[in-house]
Amino acid sequence: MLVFFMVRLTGDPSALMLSREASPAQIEAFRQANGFDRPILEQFGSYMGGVVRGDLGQSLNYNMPTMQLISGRMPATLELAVAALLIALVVAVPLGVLGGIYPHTVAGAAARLVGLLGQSVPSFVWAILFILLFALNIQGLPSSGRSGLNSLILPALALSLGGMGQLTRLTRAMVLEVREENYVRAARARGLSGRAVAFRHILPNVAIPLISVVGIQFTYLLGGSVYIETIFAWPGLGLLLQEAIFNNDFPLIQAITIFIALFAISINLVTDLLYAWIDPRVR
Amino acid sequence: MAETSKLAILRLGGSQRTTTTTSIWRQIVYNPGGAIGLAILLTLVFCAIFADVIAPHGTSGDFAVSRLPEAWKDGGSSEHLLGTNRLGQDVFSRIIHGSRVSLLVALGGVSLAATIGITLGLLSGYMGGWVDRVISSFVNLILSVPYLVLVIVAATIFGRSLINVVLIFGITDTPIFVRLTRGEVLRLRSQEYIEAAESLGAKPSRIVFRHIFPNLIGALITLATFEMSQMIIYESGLSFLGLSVPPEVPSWGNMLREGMQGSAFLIFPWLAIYPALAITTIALAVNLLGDRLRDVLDPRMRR
Repeated sequence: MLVFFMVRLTGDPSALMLSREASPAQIEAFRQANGFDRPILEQFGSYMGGVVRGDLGQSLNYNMPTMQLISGRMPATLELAVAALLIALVVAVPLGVLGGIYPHTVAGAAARLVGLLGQSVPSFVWAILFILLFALNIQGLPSSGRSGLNSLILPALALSLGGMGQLTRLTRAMVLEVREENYVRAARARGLSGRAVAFRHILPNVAIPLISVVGIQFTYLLGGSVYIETIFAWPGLGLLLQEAIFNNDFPLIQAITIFIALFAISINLVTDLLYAWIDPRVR
Repeated sequence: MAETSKLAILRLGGSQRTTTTTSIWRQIVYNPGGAIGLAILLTLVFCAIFADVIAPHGTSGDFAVSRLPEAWKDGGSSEHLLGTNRLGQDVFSRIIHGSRVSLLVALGGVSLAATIGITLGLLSGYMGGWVDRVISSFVNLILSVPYLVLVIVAATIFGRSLINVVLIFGITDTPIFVRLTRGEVLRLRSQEYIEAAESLGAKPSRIVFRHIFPNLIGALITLATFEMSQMIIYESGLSFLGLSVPPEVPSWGNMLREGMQGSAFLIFPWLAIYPALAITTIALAVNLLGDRLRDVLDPRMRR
């Protein structure tokens, strides 16, 4: 809804879409064909009706339903985001746990470093760095396009590092907090080994809040994919959005935004449900 | 008698406050992370203010020296330390000028977001009821959309200018401040000293500004610092996508975009590397400072 009115605030896209030489009659015909001449509330009503039926309108530039374009590009973006999330988790969780349990060791320092770098270095800078470092020197790691697993490595890695930093920081923080809880100290006082305390008492209590964080991270990754897809020419939703912006294809911009927002909301809903299912205290 | 003891308390409070301010300052400066972060940040502020004086070259280019590499490389000129771009503009000078955009967006955006966000957060947290419901649902609505996508759409619509970028960041970043302020107010409201003040008949405005707000400042400063680093990154990202300040304005993101066009940067890597380095250095500095500020000002949130 927000998006609809924001997009229309700029006024009529007709003038932008057609060339400068278009006659007033041509513009008028275009407006009528796309319904831009009707009152804005009526446009809104028919648009929302469409959204409910899964119809997000027609792309001006491609002249086909936006939903079709989006669903065509979605798998590539999902592949990239899921790969990035997996890379981030595989590194961040063990590192955060180790860094939290042994704060004053190499692991602790590494966790802090990954956290700091992940938060400070933007994904597009990682992307540039990786292309300069690897794609030129190492054969078989292409830096553009989507063709098999090898082409996924660099974009997914560049996308994952920001989330990896966040997840490491959060995991470490949660472990540090849980470590001080009375039940952990009691377990330690009963003479349990450090390993037993870590696996039986600390980890389960860290894993639960981590789930909701992972859900949020995933939606961040979807947003971050705009840069990464642009740099690596990865044919996903982010690249489509960048093209739509470039072409002033307002219906498409609107459709992509609504789609991503709905997708993000459903991910948050799923994580909330999952959370309630695992942690009975929330029910 | 009552007056004198009140004065004594005031005086005590006053002197304690000055000692805490100095000790906070010491704790920040005598820490490696805090000191490095602060030093880099101050350098940036200095560059931004005196850019016209410091920068060795103006913003106009000279085609005679188009695409020179760095001074220490073959073909480089000692006139242009970090090389020149296609138009013959000096990269080093443009980076110095670019600090203005980053700093203005970060300061302007965070100030705006903090002002609106703190006001709404105090209202929402203290008044509760329908005010809270309206504000909270608005906040949740904005937070449900991935931030970058929201900013991209807003920037596409409102067009490229510095003031628009500041407004967009200021408004879209508001919910974060609302959420923090509201949560803290809710937590503090149930504390005994607030109940005590209420039962003494203190007016709501006095409770909010005298008893609640001062306890929020630490957390808010910390948040503002982190949001500044995020805004510097997001602004350069937006420039990089061609959606921030107009292309002729030297901003780090614009330089990066220029350097990345086609596969130009494989041949002229200095056009992309130095702006990227500038963005990263500043974000790193602000984060280091933010980490230290959190440890000092907001020990509960220690991570």
